[in-house]
Parts: sequence; structure tokens; C-alpha cells
Amino acid sequence: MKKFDFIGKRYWAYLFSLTLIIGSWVYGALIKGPKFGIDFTGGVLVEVRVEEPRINTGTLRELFKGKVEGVLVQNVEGEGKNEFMIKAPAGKDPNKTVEIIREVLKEKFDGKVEIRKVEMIGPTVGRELREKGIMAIIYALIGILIYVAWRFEPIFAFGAVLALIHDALATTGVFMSVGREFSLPVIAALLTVIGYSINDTIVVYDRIRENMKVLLRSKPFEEIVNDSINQTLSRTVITSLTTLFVVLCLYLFGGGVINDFAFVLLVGITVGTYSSIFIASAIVVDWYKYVKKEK
Amino acid sequence: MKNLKWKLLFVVAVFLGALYLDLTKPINLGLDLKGGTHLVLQIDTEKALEDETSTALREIKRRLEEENIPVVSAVRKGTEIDIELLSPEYTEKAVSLIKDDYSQMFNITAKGKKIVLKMKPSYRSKEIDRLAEQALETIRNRIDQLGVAEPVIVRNGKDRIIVELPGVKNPERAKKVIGKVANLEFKEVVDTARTPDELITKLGGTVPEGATVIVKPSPSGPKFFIVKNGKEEELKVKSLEELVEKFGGHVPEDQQILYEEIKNKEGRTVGYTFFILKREPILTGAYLKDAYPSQDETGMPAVSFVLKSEGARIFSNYTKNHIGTRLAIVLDNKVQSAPVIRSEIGARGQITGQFTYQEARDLSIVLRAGALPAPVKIIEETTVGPSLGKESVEKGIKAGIAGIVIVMLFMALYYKTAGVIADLALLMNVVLLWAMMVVLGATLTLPGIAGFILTVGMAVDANVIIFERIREELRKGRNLFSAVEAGFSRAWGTILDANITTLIAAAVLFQFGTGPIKGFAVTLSLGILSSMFTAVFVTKVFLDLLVKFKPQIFRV
Repeated sequence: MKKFDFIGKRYWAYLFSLTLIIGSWVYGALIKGPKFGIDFTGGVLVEVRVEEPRINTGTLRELFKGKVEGVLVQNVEGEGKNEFMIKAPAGKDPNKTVEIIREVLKEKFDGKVEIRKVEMIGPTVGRELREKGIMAIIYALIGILIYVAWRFEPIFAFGAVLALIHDALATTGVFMSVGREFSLPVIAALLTVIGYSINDTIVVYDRIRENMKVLLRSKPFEEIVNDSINQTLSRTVITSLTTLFVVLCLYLFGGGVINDFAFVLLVGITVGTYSSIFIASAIVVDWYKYVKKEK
Repeated sequence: MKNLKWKLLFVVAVFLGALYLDLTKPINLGLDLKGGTHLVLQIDTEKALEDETSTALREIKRRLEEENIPVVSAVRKGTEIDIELLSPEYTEKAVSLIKDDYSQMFNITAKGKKIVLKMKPSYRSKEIDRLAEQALETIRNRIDQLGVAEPVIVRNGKDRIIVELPGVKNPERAKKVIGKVANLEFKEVVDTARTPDELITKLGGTVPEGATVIVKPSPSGPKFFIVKNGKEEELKVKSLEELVEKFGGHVPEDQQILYEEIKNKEGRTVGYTFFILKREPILTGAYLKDAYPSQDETGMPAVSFVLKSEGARIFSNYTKNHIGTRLAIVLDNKVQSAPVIRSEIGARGQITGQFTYQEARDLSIVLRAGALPAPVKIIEETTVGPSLGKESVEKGIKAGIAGIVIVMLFMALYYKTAGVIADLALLMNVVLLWAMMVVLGATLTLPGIAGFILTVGMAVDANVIIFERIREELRKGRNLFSAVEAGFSRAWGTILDANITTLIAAAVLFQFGTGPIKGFAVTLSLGILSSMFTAVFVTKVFLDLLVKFKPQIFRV
């Protein structure tokens, strides 16, 4: 079987990862700026379907002019042309905003309008959810760190968590760069990525440990690690592949909310698979060497 | 091999049992799938506590006055009362007087001639709990009256209430009925005023020469402006009492000022009438037995009410002695109408105002259900129309079927007969997961569907790990039987690790998530558990059977 020299080329992988993370964050977070959905900012979102020809975002925007402050009208992507998304900031009384939007629509298109979805999040709730979302990600990282530290020797735990942070950062960076909006389902997807992407890493680490027991005396550590990655390579790729199949189906057919969710998983699982082959074990090697030298 | 027979029997029994549940019992659908309105209400307990403190302050002032204790000042700050007496010699007496009635409610500290009353944390939390329970009960009554099928009304945290109304047609109306405080009071009218100037003058204040105070309607209530030399300047005042005091007027302790809205034909507020009222109500909505929509003499919508017998006694007593005076009917601190008492009124009365028919009907509902103990604010709403929910389900099913088919094809092609066995286990996983959700009464939400589909993809992970291991063992030259054994035993630890980390993430999600996201966390966790059973145990049973009876067709 063909053997790849993953460990020997690890500095290229580090370079690639750093470029990906720094590049996507600079572009996504600094240049483009992250976008937050109303889950986190508070606000009003109304989705409507209007059964009338010649209605576009412009005519709808005109309708709310002077009545709803800061209103934003967009086409619902990927749906029929007569579906629109009306957004407004929370302001002082978001309930009133919702009421006005409902009234105006009813008055103008009586019987020809279907209000498909209304979401109103008060500003305090938005702030709460933002804090909770960040805390959730931190808790998940800590929880997994504790588990990994308990299951493996410290050198592995260090590598696993670094790989995990790598995955979370890269996924978030790519997500921001394509201009998608953070929402609760997106945070849920990020947490799933954190829980899932460590799987592949664990598979590789398990193999390294197994090989270390028999081979440590006869082979250098680097070689054992590289062998282990190669031995588990098809597992790593195929397990990710089956999950990617279903995530791709979700991405293509799921629509709306699910689409963002699936996008995060798609990116996250890909990045996770890459990192468990190229990064996670490489860090263990460097850490191992560093510790040896110290002694 | 007897063991294997029992295992097979067990697998078949679990499968049939799960299938039976799937086909006979419906699954709970979340509001995002079946359509409806989800509301989160915040009870303004602080406002209620401040009101209680105000009442206590008035009572304490009255008591001190009765006992001839001179008070320099007594003011409320939030839920704290600061009293300053004329001299320290009165302090001891005043403190013991206050302690008689308020030692439960306040921590009382005295220093020199100053007394500070701070609300006790124990009282506060007990009171918040009581308010929330009462609000919950009232809202439940109101929703019952609205006739919503299968509503969910539960407390969330210490001062929030979650309301779920499946399939509600007019969410705006439901929001209004739920959110109205509906505090009905009957109060004695001391005087009225048509303009702010008149009001200020009547209460002993003076508007500067050449200036007038005018009022303009706004959605948040009246706004006041002082006009001088053709220049308008807004007066920032929080209450009508403050406005009067700004111009040197004074509202007696036992009185208050409220307003009535004057509306035009379209129902828009165009002006206000001001009422100086006795603060203490003659009667409140608590004495109401029934309320129903009716019409007044001119045929306009109105609300008729019937008082309980005790209320009727108080009311007839009062009206008998006050014929010819005006009585204000006050709802949520707004005067609805102030009719002149023409004769003694008993148990029955009518509230007129400028209602639409719908408003009269909804007011009847909230009056019947009783007042909320504190104002509530709707801080979150999600309404999903029925067609969107249905489309989401259809899309989810489409994505799910596509995902399952692709994964199954891939497994069968890549792992041959072993792959087919994994496919069987996968189908069983779907059947089992659905059954677990039905049995546990878990709710399927839109993200939950995604979680369901995701576990399908993740479930075969375990099989991939096992099969790859078996392949490896076979390559090493082991025989079929021992390769299968080794594959399973060596893969088990890895599978466990992988699933536990995902479970940790799911547990965190469950903790922090709301409705739909919780649904995702639950589905994901259950999916992981059921897949451990199907992908490991069930697959093992089938593989063992194959190796035992038809080893010639085994391919991996």
C-alpha cells in the first residue's frame, strides 16, 4: 500500500492552516465584518409570500416607508420570486413593529398575502442568547478537553484541543467570509462540529497508542505517527465521507434555516478531517520532540 | 451457538416492537413544523414590587401622622424607602411602629433621625414567585377563553412564561389578550380638566404669563409642550403629577391624575381629558363575577359586567350616597368613561368607551379571566404559518431519503455483503430512533430533522471503523472468524470515544438551547445511543450469522 509522508510535510500543513485561519478571519471578520441574525441582535423578521404579479422588494420597501424605521426587504433566496423577507431592528417596541407590518400587509394585499413566518426577538433576549452561545462553545470545548485529558496522555490531549480550536476557528472564518449570518442553528452546528471533528482525531490517536506499545523501541516516534495516520487513512476519509453525503443532501434539499446549518457542517467536517490527518498528530510529534529536548 | 439464536430473537423483537410504535403512535411535532405561535413573556416583577413599596410608603406616612411623629421627608427609591424625621427623639417610636406591620417585608435600619427600609431578599423572591404563579394562572384562564387547542403554558426561569399556541389564526389578537394587564378600578372623580393649563391651575399651580402648556397624542401616551412666543419646547415628565408639580401645583397624597383618550371616527387618539381622582378605588376587578360584550344606548359596542354579591353591596352603598357625582371607570390606569351616577347601582353595570366590537369581546375575556398581578412584556415571538411548517417537513423528508439512499448505496458498493448488513442496521436505526422519540414524548423540530438525518450519516461511522479493521486483520492473514472478532473488539473503544465526545456537545446544546435547538440536541443524543446499539450489536449478530452459515458469500 502506498504510504504518504504526512509528518514530513507538516510545516506545509501548518502554513496552510495558518493562512486559512488568518486569511478567513481578516477577510470575514475585519474587512467584511461578521453578520449576526436577529437571534443575537434582537429585531423583527417577517417572511411573506405575495400572490400578486409585479411586486418586488422596491414596492414593498415603499409600503413601509415612514411606518417602520430601518426596514429592509430582501428576496428569500432560492425560493419563488414572490417570497420576501422583511427585517427591522428591535427599536423601542418590537411588538408594535410586528403589529404594523402585519397590518400594512393585510391592508394592501388582503387575501393575497400569506405571512409565513414572524420572528421577534427583544433586545435583552438577543444579548442573552449571544452570551449563552459563546458560553456554550466554551463549555463544549472544556468538556471535551476534560474527557480527552482523562482518556489520553497529556501530549495527546494538547494536540486534540489545538486541532479542535483549529477546526472551530477555520469553520467560523470561512462562514464569515462567505457572508452568512450567525444564528442559533449555526451555533448548534458549530457545537456539533466540535463534538464530531474530534472523532477522526481520536481514531488516529488510538492507533498511535496501539503502535507505540509494540514499536517504540524499534522505530522513531515520527515514523510511528506517520504509519498510524496511513493505517487509519481510509477509515478517516470514509467515515467523513458518509457523513458528508447526508450533510450535502441537507444542504441541497433542506432549505432556509437548515441550509446555513448544513453549510457549517459541510465546512466543519471537511476541515475536521483535514486537521485530523495533517495537524492533530503533527502537533503531537512536535510537542513530543519539544518535551524530549527540555529533558 | 444457542447464544446467537437468542441475540437474533432479541434484535427481531426490538425491531418489531419499534416498528409497531412507529406505525401506531404519532410523534410530537414542534411549532416550527406544525405551525403556531411561540411567545416568551417577561413579567415586570420590579414594577409590581415598586408599587407595593409605594403603597407601604403611603401607609407608613399615614401611621406616622396619626401618632403625631413629624416627618421631614419620606421617599421611595426603587424598592427602598428613606425616611427623615424632624429629630432623633422620635426614631425609636417610629421604628417600632413600622416594625409592627412591615418587619416581614423590609429590613429596617435607623441612624440618628434617619430610617431606611430595604426590601428583604427573602420577601422579594417569595413575592416574585407568587406574582409569576398568579400571572401563569391568569394567562392560562385567558387562553382557555380564547379557545386554542392544546396550548402549552409554562414558567421559564423565575420571572418568565413560555406560551405555545399551535395553529392560532390571529396571533396579534392572542398577543393582545395575553399581554393586557386588565386592572379594572372604579374611582371617585374629584375634578376634571380639558387642557393641561386648566389642570395645573386647578391644582394650585401657575403657568407663566404669556405661555401655554399643550398636549399632543403619541403612541406611548400624551406628550406635553410649553409654547411661548410661538416657540414649542417639549416638557420631559414621567407622570401627570410631575407636570403639575413643575408649575408649582400639588396633588394631595390620596389623589392622582389619569386621562381619558378622545378618539376620532377612525379610532385614532386626537386629545385627552384629565381626571383628578381619589387614589383608593371604590371597587376593583377582583369583585367581578362575569363580563360579556353588549351595546350601549346608542348601539355602540360596550362591555356589561355582573358583580359578586359583596361587590354589589359595596357598589350600591356607594352609589346611593353619591347620586349626581361622577364615577370613573379605570382600566390599566386609563379612564374608559366617567358617567354621572343617576341612581343607585347594584350588581350590574356597563363599561362604555370607544370600543370596536372585537375590543369589547376581548375586554370581556380578560375581565372574566382576571387581572395580571404585574405588567408583562412579550420579549420573543415566533410564528410559523401552517404552509411553511408543512414545506419544512417535506423538505426534511426529501433530504432524509436522499441521504439514506446515498449512504446505503455507498456502503453496499464499498463493503459488499458486510455493507448490506450495515444497511440493514441503518434501517433499523431509523426505525428505532423514531420509536425512542415517540416513547419518550420528545418533540421533533426542524433542526431535529437535521439531527435525525445527521445521525444516519454518523451511525455508519461505527461500521466503517469495524469493517476497516476487519479488512486489516484479514490482510494480516487471519481467518474470517477471528478477523471479525478482532475487528469488533478493537474498534469498540474507538467508537465509544467518538460517540461520547459528540454526546458532550449535545448535552451542552441541550443546556443552552431553546425549543427547536433543544429538539436537535435530543434527536442527536438519542440517535447516537440507538446507533451504538444498531451499528455495533445488531451488525455483530448479523455478521456472526453470516460467518457461521454462509461464509462463502462474505465479502468486505
